[in-house]
Parts: sequence; structure tokens; C-alpha cells
Amino acid sequence: MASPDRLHEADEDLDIVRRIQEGDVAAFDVLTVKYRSRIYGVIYNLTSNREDAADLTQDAFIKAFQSIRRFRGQSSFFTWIYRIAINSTLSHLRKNRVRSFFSLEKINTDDPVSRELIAALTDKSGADRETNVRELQEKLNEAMQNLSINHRTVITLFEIDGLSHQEIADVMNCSVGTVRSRLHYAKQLLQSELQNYLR
Amino acid sequence: MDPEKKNPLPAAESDGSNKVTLENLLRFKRCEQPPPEFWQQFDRELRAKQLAAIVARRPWWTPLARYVGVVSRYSLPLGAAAALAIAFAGVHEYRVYVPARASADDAQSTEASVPTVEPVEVAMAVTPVPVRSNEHPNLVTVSGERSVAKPVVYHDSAKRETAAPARMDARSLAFDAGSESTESSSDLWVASNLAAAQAAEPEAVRNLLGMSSSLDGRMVPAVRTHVEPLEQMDPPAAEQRSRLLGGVVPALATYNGTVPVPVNDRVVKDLSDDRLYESISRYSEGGDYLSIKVKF
Repeated sequence: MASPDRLHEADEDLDIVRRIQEGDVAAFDVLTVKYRSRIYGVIYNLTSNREDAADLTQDAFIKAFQSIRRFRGQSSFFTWIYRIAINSTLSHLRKNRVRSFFSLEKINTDDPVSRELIAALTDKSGADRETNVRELQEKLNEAMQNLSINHRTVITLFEIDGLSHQEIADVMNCSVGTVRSRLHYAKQLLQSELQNYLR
Repeated sequence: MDPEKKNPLPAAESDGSNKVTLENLLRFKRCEQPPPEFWQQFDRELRAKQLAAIVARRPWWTPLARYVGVVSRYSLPLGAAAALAIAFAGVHEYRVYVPARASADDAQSTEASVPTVEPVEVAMAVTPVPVRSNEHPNLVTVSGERSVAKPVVYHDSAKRETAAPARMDARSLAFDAGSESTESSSDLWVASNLAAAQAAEPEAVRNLLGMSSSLDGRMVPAVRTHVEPLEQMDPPAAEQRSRLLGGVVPALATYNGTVPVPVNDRVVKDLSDDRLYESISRYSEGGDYLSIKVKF
């Protein structure tokens, strides 16, 4: 069940979409600025490559812009553009299954979540903190890339992007049960991969 | 991962408040964010691509590709349906094809079983025979040169009460002569007519038979004596045997004294006169032949 904030957000998006469909092309920039970070984050966590993530994010917005006239409002714009982005990313990953290398973003250490986690994983002296954080980041991305594409998508949308099971099911065009099953299996695999970091 | 590998990070404090879970680690990935200047460049590139997408004409097959994409979702049922259709069509064609082939084979076998009768055009060298139409009631003159018998009534056969007009058709005669065992009514009819004509006019019939001899001797198949064709031939085995023995026994080089068979020159050369003289066991002579029997 979508939250009231999401419903309100969806109504706002629908109004903007109507304006675009009536010819206000500049209104598309509002949606771009609103969702570019989240779309980029999802694609980046799926590819672990920031250049590919930037290109795929731009392609997703271009496809949405070209197809905005066919948007009927049956789902929220958020779900619609997520589906476009994820389908483009999955197609890209399937085409480049062999060629995959990391191009990681820097950890934002000013973020309270990262500060808390780094404090939990390092000793009080803070010796070699940068090295350890970098190593943890690589291990995390390596463990994510070892997952299958579907499992990686589910764990990214649920744990990192914070979508609900129903929203993930809408985006991935599958059932909620499938989402839960994939999520459970993906967590088991990640725990086995990252057990040295868990305590 | 190697279980013996030590944790690269120092152990967390054991107070329980800093417990590291998988969710915490995955939340750590949220902190991987691009710097603010990245979005400026991102917006510029996106604007350029957006303008290019507006200006660029979309290819004509773009709508088709969209429909293909929709169809590709149902690739499995569509593929299964196509496979079923192909299988059904194959089975259907096979069932249709078999009787057609069988009928063709039947037709061929039927054609093979029925002897093909080639039409034989026989040039009739007819000698003009002066026959008066009033000399015999059964003979009539046709176009002044050919005499044809009138129909004869058979009194001894219930089946043959009337006979068709006698026609000197070489085609039908040739066909009847070829089938020895099946003497048709026309054969008997011609034979009886000839017998009647011979009794009435022997001279005319003689001339007529002389004419018929020019028709390859098959004009009257009923009176022709049948000789087995193979009996008229020399057995090839005997000739071959003579030729083979000729290589070993020069005296037997001839078969029956009538068919000269070439003697192997090498054998003759190797055979000395003394040996030839000693091997002669019997000889006889006739009017114009000399037979020598040699034993080795």
C-alpha cells in the first residue's frame, strides 16, 4: 500500500506530465531534477560503474521524454520511469555480462549513516580508516555483482532505495511473493559473502 | 571467501550498540553519491541529448519495434503455437502425400503389368490381284485393288453368330500374332474366311497368300507353326565352352565342324608334332570335312 506522501507525490507528477503532454516541454526538467539522483543511485548500485550509470540515467530520461505522450497515468510517473531505467539497465547488463569493472563513487563521510557505520567498524583511534572504508566499499560492490541481475535489483530497490515490496513488484513486473523470495535469497547470499564484516 | 581470513576491520565494541548487520552495510552504499558538480555536467549532457532526440527523426520501424517488443513478451506461447502449427502441417502434408505416392506407384505398376503395344505401321506391298466380284460370294473388291471377304456366319459356335467384316488391318493382326495364347475371334474369322476362299478359289488364295508372305509372315497367325525362339538359337554356353576348351584342346576348337572358333595361337605353338601325333585317338573324314579327335 502506498503511503500518503507517495500518493501526493504521484498526483503532483501527474499534473506535470499533463503539462508536458500539452506542450510544456520545459516542465520535464522538474521531473528530471526530482528523480535524477534516485534513478542514478539505483543504476549505479546495479552496475557499480558511475560512467555507465550516468549514461543509462540520461538514456532513461530521454526515453521517458520521447514516450511521455503514451503515458496514460495507470501507474505513477515514479514507477513508470523506474521501470524504464531498470529495463534499460538490465538490457545493458545482459549485453555486457562479460565486461564488468568497478568505477566507484566516493563515500560521503559527512552523511550521518556513513559516520555511524564507520564508527562501528573502526577502532577508536581511527587508524587506516580511509583504507578500511575503501576496502569495505569494494567488498560490498563485489558481493552485489556476484548476485544475479534480478536478485541485485530487488536488494537494491528494497535495502538501498527504500521501495516497498509492492512498488518493487510494480517496477519489476512480478508478484510480491517473487519479490520477497528473491529478497530472502539475495540476503542469504550477501550474508555468506560479507560474514567477516558482520558482528 | 576464505573463512580463515581475518576481518580487515578492527573488532567493534562489544557493548552491543554498534552491532553491524547486513542492512547497515547495504545502507552504507547509500553514501556513495556523486559530487554536486557531477549534476551540472549531467544536466548539460541530458539537455544536448534531449535536443538531439527532438530534432532527430525517428526511424520508420520504431513503432514496429515497439510491437515486436510487446510480442516478445509472449515468445514462449507464440513459439509453442508455431511449433504445433508446423507439426500439424507436417503431419497433414504427410498424410496427404502418402496416398498420392501410393496411387502413383499403383499406376506405375499397372502400366508395367500391361504390355505396351506400339502401333505398328506395316507398309503393305499389295500386288494387284484381278478378282472378279461375282466369282465368289464372300469376296468383294475394295477400291479395285484389295479383295476383302464378306462376313461369314458361324454355324458351329453359339457365340460367333456373325463376324465383322474382314479388314486387312496390319495393326490388329500384328497384335493378335503376338499374343499366341489368346486367339481372338478375328484370328479365327480370318482363318475360316481364308479356308473358305481357298476352297472356292485356290488360285486367288495362292496369290493372296503370296501377298501375305510379304507381310512378315504374320498375316495368318492361326496356321503359323509356333517355334520356341530359344530353340532356334545355338546355346551360348556351348559356344563359350568350345572357346574355353579351344585354349586347352586345340582339336576341339571347332564346334560341330560348322562354327569356326579361333584356336589359341600360343597353344598351337607350344604343341609339338610328336605330341599331337600321339594324342590323336580317332579321326574320320567326310565329303568336305575332316574330324580329328585328340586326347591329352
